[in-house]
Amino acid sequence: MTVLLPVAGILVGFTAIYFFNVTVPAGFASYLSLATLAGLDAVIGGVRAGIEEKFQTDIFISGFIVNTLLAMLLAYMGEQIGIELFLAAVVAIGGRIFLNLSLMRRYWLTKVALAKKEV
Amino acid sequence: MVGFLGVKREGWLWQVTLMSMILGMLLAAALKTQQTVKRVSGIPTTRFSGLAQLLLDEKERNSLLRKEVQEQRAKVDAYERALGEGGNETEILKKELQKSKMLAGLLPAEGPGVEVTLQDYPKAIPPNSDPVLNQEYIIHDYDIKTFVNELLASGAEAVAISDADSTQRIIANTPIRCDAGVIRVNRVPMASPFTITAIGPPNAMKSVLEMTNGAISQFRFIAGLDPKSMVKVRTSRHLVIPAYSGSTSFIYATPAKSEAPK
Repeated sequence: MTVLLPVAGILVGFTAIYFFNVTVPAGFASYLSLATLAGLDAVIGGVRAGIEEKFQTDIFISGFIVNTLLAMLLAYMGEQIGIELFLAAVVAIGGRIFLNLSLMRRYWLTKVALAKKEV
Repeated sequence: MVGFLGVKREGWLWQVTLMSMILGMLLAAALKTQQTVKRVSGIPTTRFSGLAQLLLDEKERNSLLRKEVQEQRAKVDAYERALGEGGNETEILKKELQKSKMLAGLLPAEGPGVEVTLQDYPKAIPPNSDPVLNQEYIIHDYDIKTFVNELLASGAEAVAISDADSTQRIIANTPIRCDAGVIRVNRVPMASPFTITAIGPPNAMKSVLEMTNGAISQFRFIAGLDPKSMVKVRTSRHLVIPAYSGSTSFIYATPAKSEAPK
């Protein structure tokens, strides 16, 4: 059941932090949320790349780090100049997540259809 | 070996799983932070629509409170007005003024008291009487003064002298004098019979007037003249005395600024 490995990873990480009292200063709340979103994007993008057999560790890790940093930078700049710039990161990353999910769905449906044909 | 979604290479899966763990940690931290923010700030949501609703609620509560403030202000105003009309300090001042006016005789007074009627001898002067004594058969200014004085001494609080035509309130500077055969009280000419109306303890005042060596017994010492024919005392449960109606202006006296002698 390797399918559930990423899901189990999320649960393990969540539990590790949630039940040990770790708190972040309230001022960083929005940055943390952006990092979370970037993390979700990285996981889903990684799964998609894996399915497409194009997975590369350096792209995977640098993508996560750079996306997170860029989102945080946008959020910080937005806060400074009075525009909610972090929304740009949210929309871009959110859009990517939906795109990757839809591609994964297509691959899975194609696979199911092919399996039916073989039978 | 067929792995996730039929993809054979599995190295990436572990890396994604590791990233998933990081994602879970971030998720937990973010959740925790949001909860802390909500708990500390007391704002139950950080979402815009929720905040908007909170803002609306708060606005409504604000307007209610403002209305309450207005009501309370109106109440304070009403209290202040009541204070102005009859409240503490003003009330005391008003009472003080009433008392002063009463003492000055500037207010009508009513209450129990006595009526003393003084009149000239009602019958003809006996023919065998010594002409020197003729003056004794009429009421003089000093008779009135004596009776007023006795009444005041026995507790009268308001006194007036009246005849058929007018009533004169006795005040602090009321003169009672005889001017060319006419008795004047407050400079108003009066004629017998005179009625002295005194508000005070009725029985005490009557007793003082009628006691041995009192004003009535000292009234006249003439054989055959009964003082009771010229002086009558009557107690009353309810008398009304008018206010002083003469001039109250002061020309020479002003309220003293320098210290008065003890």
